[in-house]
This record gives sequence, C-alpha cells and structure tokens, in this order.
Amino acid sequence: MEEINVKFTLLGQLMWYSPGHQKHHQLQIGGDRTVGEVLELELHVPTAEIGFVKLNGFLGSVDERLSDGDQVDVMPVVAGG
Amino acid sequence: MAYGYWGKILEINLDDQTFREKSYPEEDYKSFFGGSGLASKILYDEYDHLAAPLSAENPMIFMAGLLTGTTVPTACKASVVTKSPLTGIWAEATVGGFWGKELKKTGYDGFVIKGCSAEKTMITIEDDQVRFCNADDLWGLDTYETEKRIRQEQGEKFEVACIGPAGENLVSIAGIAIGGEKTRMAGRCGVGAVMGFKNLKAIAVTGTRKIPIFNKEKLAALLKEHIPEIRKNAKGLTDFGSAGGVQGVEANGDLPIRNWTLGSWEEGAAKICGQAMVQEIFKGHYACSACPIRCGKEVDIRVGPHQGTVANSPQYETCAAFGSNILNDDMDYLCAANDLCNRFGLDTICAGNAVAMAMECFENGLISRDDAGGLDLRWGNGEAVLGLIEMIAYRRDIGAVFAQGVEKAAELIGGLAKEYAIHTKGLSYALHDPRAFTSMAVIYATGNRGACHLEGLTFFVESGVMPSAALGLHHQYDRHGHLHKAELALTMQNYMETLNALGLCKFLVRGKVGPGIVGEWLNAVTGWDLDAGDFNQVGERLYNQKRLYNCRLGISRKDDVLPPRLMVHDRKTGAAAGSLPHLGKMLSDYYELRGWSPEGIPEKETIEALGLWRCAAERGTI
Repeated sequence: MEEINVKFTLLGQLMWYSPGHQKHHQLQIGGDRTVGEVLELELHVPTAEIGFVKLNGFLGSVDERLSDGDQVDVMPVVAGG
Repeated sequence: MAYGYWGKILEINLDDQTFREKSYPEEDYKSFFGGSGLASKILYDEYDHLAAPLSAENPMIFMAGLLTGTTVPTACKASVVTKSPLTGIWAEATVGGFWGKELKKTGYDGFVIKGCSAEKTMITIEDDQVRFCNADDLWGLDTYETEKRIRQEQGEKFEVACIGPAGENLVSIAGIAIGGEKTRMAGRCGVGAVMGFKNLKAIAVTGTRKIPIFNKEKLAALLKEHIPEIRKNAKGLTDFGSAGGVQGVEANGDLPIRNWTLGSWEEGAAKICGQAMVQEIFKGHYACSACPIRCGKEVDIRVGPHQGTVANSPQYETCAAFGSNILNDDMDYLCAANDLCNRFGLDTICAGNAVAMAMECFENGLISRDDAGGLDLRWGNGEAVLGLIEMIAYRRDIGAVFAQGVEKAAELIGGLAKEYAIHTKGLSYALHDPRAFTSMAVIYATGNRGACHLEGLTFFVESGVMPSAALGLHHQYDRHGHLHKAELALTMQNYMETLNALGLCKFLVRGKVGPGIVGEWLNAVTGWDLDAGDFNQVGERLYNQKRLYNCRLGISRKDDVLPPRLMVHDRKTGAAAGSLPHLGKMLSDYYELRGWSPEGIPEKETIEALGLWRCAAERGTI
C-alpha cells in the first residue's frame, strides 16, 4: 500500500509518551490508517489521555482516516487535581 | 447491627479533659453518610454558629468517611469541619493517608473536640482509651519532627495528625498535616489555626477494631471488576502524580500564570511538570490507604534549608501555585517551597496565592524591600519565596499580613492590592481557571467553603476525562459557553458531596467512576438499598445543609462572585484566550435548579423535601 506523510503535534503532557519525548512528529506511514491507530501504535499515546483532536485545524475524531499531508493536533485531557 | 460504620462518635472536652460517647441513629448515616456530611448536621444542629472561629465555643469535628477503613478503592479520607478563621463561614478540609483508617479502627466514626486547653496538649486515642498528654516539648516542632517524636514515644502503630508552627502561630491559612514526610494535608480554610488556638498540637490514633462488611463476597466481586479499570484510566496519575497534568492544563488554557494575568507558559510548564520531576529528582511512589492509583511521589530536595533530604513531591495544585502563578520554572525551588509549607503546616494553595499577590504588590511598588524584611520579591525569585513562606508561618514582617489570607492582606495593604487578591468568600482560588471551563465559575462562586475546585471538578467532565453519561447527563458542553453548565455544576457538586461523606478520593473521577458504581460499593458494605435517586439526594441534602449554615451567617447571592480578574479580564493568549464566564446567567439557572430564591437562599419547600427539619424551622429567620 502506498505510504503517506502526516504530521502529528502532541500537546501538553502527551509528548512524554512518544518516542524521544518529542512534541512534533513527521511520520511516513502506510495508507488506510486512522488517527487513533497512529496515536496508539506509532506514538504510544493512551486513549484515556486524549481530550480531542484537530484534523487540519478542524475538530476531528480518532476514527478518521488519514490522507497524505494531513496535520493532526492532539489535545490532552485536563489532568491536575 | 451497623455495617461500614460504628454509629457513634467521641466528644472530647479540652476544658476539663473529659470525654464521652455519643450515638447517632442509622437514619442519620443514611441521610448524611459520614465525613463532612454527618459533621455538617452536627455543626448545624448542636453548636452556636455565631461563636468566634478562634474561641473555645467553636468545635473541631474530625470525622472519617462512612466507607473509610474498608477495602473500597481510595476509602481513606477524614474531614475536619469547623467555622473558619480565614473566611468566617463553613470550613471543611479533607485529608487522605492512613489517619482516617486508623481513626475508624478505634471503634468510632469521629471525634468532636470541644473547649480549649489551658496548656499545650496532645491527645492519644487507642480504641476507647483517650489520654491527654502535655505537649510543651512538641510545641515549636515542625510537622515531620512532631510526627516522628510522637511515634517514637507512643509507638509506631499510631497515626498522627498535627499542626506545625503555622497553626501554633494562628496563621489563618494553616492546615493539619498527617504522614510526616509522606505528607497529606487537611489544608484549606485555616483549620490548623483553630487547632493551635485550642493549644492542641496533635491527635494520635490507633485501634484494633475491624469494620464489619455486610456482603464481603459481593464487594470483592465488584472490586475485582472495577479496580483494573480504575488503574488503567488513572495510569497518568500513577506514573507522575497529579503534577503530570501541568502541561495539559496549560495546553487547555486552564493554568494560572503570573497571578492569573497571562494566557500561555508552555516552556515553563515543561520544566516543572511531574514527568520532568520523575526524570530528574524522583525517589519513589507512595499511596494512601486502600488506593489502587498511588499518586504520591517522593523527590530529592536540592535547595533551601532542607537541601539533601527526601520529601513529598508537589502535586498539581502546588506546582501551579508555586510554579506558573509566580513565574517560577525551577523545579528545585518548587519542591523546596512545597516541603517548607508541609513542614510549617501551611495550605500550599493559599500560601502560593499569597506569595503571587505579594510579588505583584512588590513589582508594582505597594510593598517595599524593607516591608518584605529585605526579600527581593520579584517574579520567580525562588530564594525569596522560601523566605516569605517562613515569614508567613512565623508572622514576621510582611508575612504577618499575608498570614491573614489574601482578602485581609488586600485591606491592610490598600490601593490596587484588592485587584491582586484572587479569592471568593476569603478563600484563595484553587489553580483551575474558570475562564477555561466556565462551569468552574459556578463551582467557585457557590462553593460552601469558598473558591474550592474540589466541590465541583466539572473541568474533568468538560474536558472529557469523566463521561457526562456516568452522571446521568447527556449534553455536549462548549467549554467557554454557558448552556447546561448550571445543571452540570450542581450534579457534580452533589456527587462530590457524597464522595467526601463516604471518605473517597476525588481522583476516582480520573478512573471514570461515577455515582452508579459508588452506590454499588456502598450498598455492598452497608446492606442498604439506595438507588441513584437516593444517592443524588444525599449529595443535594449535604450541599444545602452547608449552604444553610452559611446563610445563617449572612451569605447570599451578593457573596457568590468571582474576583474581577477572573470575571472581566480575559486571557490574551492560549486555548482560553478571549473567554469570560457568563456568571450571572449561569447562577440564575443554578438557583432555579437548586430550588433557591433569586438571592441564593434555599426555599422552604426545598429544605423540607430534603428532610432538613431544623433548617426549615429557621428558614424564616435568614
């Protein structure tokens, strides 16, 4: 399957889950992947920590399929206490 | 036979060093549970609300939660209830650790401390034996040393609740510490000062009684099902403590920065978050009794007067109070400030807000370096922060002003200082911004003890941590809007009331535990058959009971306000930029849903429907 390039930005504490603890991730992945699959399998972000995602600047869902050039911003839930 | 609770408390009179048992019927436990719930009934019905907070007539009620001491997840809490010397109204402060469990093992659900001791005193309670001990040699010691000394002399089996120098010096923002270096603090409302006024340094408890459970098999089956889910959902807390949320709170525009005046602080948040602390200075985990989450952390103290020691790590509130809100991005000074507050017995939320206000006063020329005893109180100066904390605990120099809390400090300093005092009803704000999640404006405005986040925690629902369906709600919330926020606020307030009264930690919300699950635990332990409606009504009853205590003292809608900085100054950057809470509209909705008058007084029909008969009889005098 053709590979696509996508960019993920992990906001707040989500960066700590990813390889290298980086905020920005430029990824080359196989096509037909959802936002949630990339977050779980490539970036190791627990679902419970995700508040919402923005796909190309608009409110999106972890179930949406990615296309080449997509930019995904991932906002964490509010933790604290 | 009662299950889960004993049905009796001890009344301890410091005036003549006597004590007696007092029984309460099952109906009271069904209606108020325990903890601050039953305590609210006792304080309202049995004590003079007009008594001065610092007087022999003002009681201190130490009450374990109804489920405290059982194996129910997080069932560890005890509450301290009194009239606050900081705010002059309802005071409650809740603490975890192991003290509440040990209290329950004595065979009592709580203690009421009456009167005032002529001498410095410590009380030990071992099952039904109460001893009054001279505490001259303990007076002046910090909380760690006090705990250590008592356990050395009385036995390691004792759990100790004590005040530090701040409580002794009647500092209005003093708390009561337990656990020594593994500190947990009944921090809010100045309860430590009430204990100090009574010349009571510590209460050490131990017991041998085993709490009866109605249906052990059922409870075990429920816990087997629920605990793994709680662990999974709250893993972030387990790994990093609540401090692990600092960056996420900042990303959501919820983090107070520079005494609540800025909108973004991304780089700073990355330096003081729990993840960074775990990488650099982490020493170990610890947990409260019965807790599957284990959010407690220990860290190295690398600066300040106790450099080289290991101590409790700051949780989220303290990271914001002594980090972002004073522009301190140095984790070492943050940890040292937390450690000093714990040693002196100071509420870190109130102390941090006081330091932020002092720094803003200093930066704007309202406080000079001479006033500050030579401290250079510029934003972020860690050494000066440590100095000011000590001044507050010992009421020295400008510390004597801030020891009275930010509201009174503003009156004493004058000028623009009132703009810098961030409080409601005299209690400094917890560190979540009502401009970021506007339901929190209702929570802070109507909070019975003042600007407390724990009375609502609605930001967890608005941000998606806690599913609203678990609360029986089915709305989508615009975090900056006002629609349906009143309903959300009162639903969460009712739920939080029940958690406090049951002795459960509010981090269960992080585990996505709603009232349905808690009700199942409660029924298995007690043998009761409460349904969701009964459960919610208990929360509603408790919220109204406490409100009515305050109404008798003159509290009404005029007091349900936010400070101007949070009402009319918007954040300029970040995720909450431009947002301001529509408080007036939300409050009108809220009062109507609560069955309160437009002035915020519970209507007689509301009070009667909740069975608060004593309050109903007095409604006409409010």
